[in-house]
Amino acid sequence: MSTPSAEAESLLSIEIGTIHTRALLFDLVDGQYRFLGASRVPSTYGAPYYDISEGVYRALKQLQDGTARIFLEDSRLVIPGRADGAGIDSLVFIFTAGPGLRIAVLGLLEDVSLESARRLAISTQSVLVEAIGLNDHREHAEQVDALLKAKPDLILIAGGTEKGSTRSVGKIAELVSIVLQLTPEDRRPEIMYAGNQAMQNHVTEALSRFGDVLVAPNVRPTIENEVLAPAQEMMARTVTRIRYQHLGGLQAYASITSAAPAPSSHTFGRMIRYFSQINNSQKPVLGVDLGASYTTLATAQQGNLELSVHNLGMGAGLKLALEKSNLAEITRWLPMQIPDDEVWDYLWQKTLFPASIPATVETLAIEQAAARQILALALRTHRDHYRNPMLSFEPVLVSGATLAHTSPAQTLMMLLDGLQPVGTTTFVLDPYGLMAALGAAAEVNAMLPVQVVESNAFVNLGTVLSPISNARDGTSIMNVRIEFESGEESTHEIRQGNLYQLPIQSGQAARIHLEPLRPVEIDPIHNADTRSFKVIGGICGTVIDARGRSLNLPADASRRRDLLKKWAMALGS
Amino acid sequence: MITPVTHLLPLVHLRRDRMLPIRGRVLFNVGDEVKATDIVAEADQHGAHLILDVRRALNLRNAEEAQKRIRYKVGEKVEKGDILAQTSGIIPRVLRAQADGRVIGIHRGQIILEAAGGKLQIRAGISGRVTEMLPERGLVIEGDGALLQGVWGNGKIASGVLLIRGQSASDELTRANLDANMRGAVVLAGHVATRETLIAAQEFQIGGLILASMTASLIQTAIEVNYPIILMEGFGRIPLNQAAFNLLSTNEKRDVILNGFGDANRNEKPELFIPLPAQGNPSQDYAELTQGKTVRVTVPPYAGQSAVLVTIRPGLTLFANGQRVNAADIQLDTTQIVTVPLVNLDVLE
Repeated sequence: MSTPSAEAESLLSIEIGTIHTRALLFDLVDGQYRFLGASRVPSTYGAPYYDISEGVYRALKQLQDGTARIFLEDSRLVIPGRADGAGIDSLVFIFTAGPGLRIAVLGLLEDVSLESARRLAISTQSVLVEAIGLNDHREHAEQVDALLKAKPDLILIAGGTEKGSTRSVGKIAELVSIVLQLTPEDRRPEIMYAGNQAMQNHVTEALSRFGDVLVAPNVRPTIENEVLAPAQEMMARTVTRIRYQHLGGLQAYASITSAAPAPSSHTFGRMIRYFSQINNSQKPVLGVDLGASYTTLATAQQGNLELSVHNLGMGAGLKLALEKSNLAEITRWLPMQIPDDEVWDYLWQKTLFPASIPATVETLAIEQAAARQILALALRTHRDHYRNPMLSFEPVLVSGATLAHTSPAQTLMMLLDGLQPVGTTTFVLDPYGLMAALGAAAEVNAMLPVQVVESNAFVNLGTVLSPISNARDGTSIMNVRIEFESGEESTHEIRQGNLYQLPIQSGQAARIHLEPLRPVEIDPIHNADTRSFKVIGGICGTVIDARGRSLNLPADASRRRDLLKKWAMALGS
Repeated sequence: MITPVTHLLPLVHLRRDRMLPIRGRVLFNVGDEVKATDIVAEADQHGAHLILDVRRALNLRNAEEAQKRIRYKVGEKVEKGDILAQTSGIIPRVLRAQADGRVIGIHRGQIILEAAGGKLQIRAGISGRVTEMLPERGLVIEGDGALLQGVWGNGKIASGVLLIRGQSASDELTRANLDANMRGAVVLAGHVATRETLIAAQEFQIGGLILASMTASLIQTAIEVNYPIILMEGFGRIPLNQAAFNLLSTNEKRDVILNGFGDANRNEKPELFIPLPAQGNPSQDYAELTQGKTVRVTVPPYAGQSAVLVTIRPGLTLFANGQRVNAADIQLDTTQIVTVPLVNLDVLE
């Protein structure tokens, strides 16, 4: 890993994705950091190259051709940048490619350390292959067999509050020691310990003869307190070590990057944490990255991050989505009649050709219906893992090709239907997929992400107000009066069950005054008396979503489709 | 634009690695000829583990004493009933092995016994000659013949004589089309829509199925049947592209090897290989999408249709669904020219 120079200006981010390898260029323009260009080529970590380097070279070549700047000389990256403008000053690497890491978690109490260990495991691309706690009643030998059979890439040990149990942690170390002893040297998993610090030396001594033991601060220092952030940093470094084995060529780049390569989900989470620190809302920030193989969800409030990565996505991730869903949970979002088997076949075909894009109205509708279901599944799982009932966020930041490469109105509809937030929410789209790259850049250059975020790289889709009322559909629940800065006013009647796009132009400031006609919960966080908001119109204006929570769609297919069309038209999509 | 290639090659020199995921035994040497179905490498898999606490079983005072009573060393084989540890005295207490296996660890007075496990076996997948050998890991096989890559496979390998069912590869294969003459043969057909057909093919002991497409709801059944299945186009009712049909037609009655392993995420495709007594050239796995290339549309509309790339459109093209993407005009086999997103094409060569 190289040390960035103090005058480092240009920064190149390389992202090794499941499908594509992307190169993103950032540099100073008139003293401000800006996103200048991107390239995208097929990833080459799989057949026939089994090495990321070919994809990285092609991405750099394409970026070079597209920006008319020199990055390559004799097929090698020019780093650091030269006075003639060739090359780049800093390089960061992030990755989503590769199968989910097989993680086994071991802890003491199911609801305490084991739960924290699980949360730590889901903060990266993972498959939880085994969990063993004090209440596991299997014989010792059966536990050994289960761990061997699970073939974990990583064994994550938690357990014991500070000044708490040491004997049980010692038993866990003994179990893991036997497993490591029985595993061939070249197949041994990484070991990470994030338990009682008093047992750190004991665990390290018991296991270090089999390989490095990576030690992180205790994730559960007391029964009541969970501290995941330091362990998440260690987890990211551990994942990178494992990915060096999975992604040929990645380790070689680590010597020229300005920060260690990191999982995209980790750097995405870092950006959401940053947004929560500059955000003065009482609500958490929600970040959603809907990828091909994985969907990352991050909620953060005042710097406390809750991160989860789900094996759900719009490519290979459709497999799990289809296994976890009834087809009806997807087809209910279709605004036209398409036979079930066609929907099923199309989505499975998409798993074979994850880079393909929908070319017809029908196939676009199928993909967007699946995206809604994936968003709903991911958010439900995220809330279950963190036992967080919150459904009110401010803002919601979203990225991912399915969300970015369609009309803003369709994007907003997918988000409203999939996430179903309550209260007032601003939706911000990351159309170029910069968020994870900016999170990686932050480690090298703290000003860069701040200034890029303040530029036009992100799109304000609009503020959405989702009031809750028990009124019957069609009943007037409130009037909304819009007061423009020009002094003009307009008033709109809001009926339960409908969606409204208020006539506030993109970038236009206005104050909206709500006059409830029936009992209505405007926002679960804000003071019940708050009836007046200042809003800035987004690209979809300002939206009132009075459809209720949770959304109930008519059972009758024909009525349901009519309603979906009506809602879509309300947003102009 | 660079894009992965799907191979439909009448003659190619093919090189394939066959590696074990764990250390094991390689069963052929450099220079050996192998058949596709030969097992070329194998490894012992873990059996169940038994942890026998000698101290507790023999009622000893401490682990050190238990350690002294153990009669086996790490690595030694044991048979069920063998005495693993024994106390001294006139009536000694004994601890016997509960299963055949091997002592794989002795740890603080505990014996760790691994019962005999199954074998992990790797098959050649293609016929040819072994050109490289990595001891304990695997080997490289090279051969010449026709190569066709599919898009999905059920993970099984077999070989047999190629039979073509029907006049074109778009017809549905049903139980009624199957008969006892197909025993051991690899059958090329259009589409399978019912579980009954896949089960019937197993009952008739066919050697394998090459299908243009299959209903996705049959995936689980397809994985469970005992013969290999390769889909050339994918899920849904998609006809076989004409280029593949022509190539397969010219090889009817020849031996064909089906290797149903594939991983779309790693660009690893299931493939069928027809060994030929001629020298081929190595294939390219990526190609530039350029005018005149033979391409195939991968998803609807026009899924499975082969075509010739007429032109790549400049800038972005607006589609009826509002998507604005890079696109190409292609001429289908029907001579119709249509516009499709570039990413929905793969190159056939």
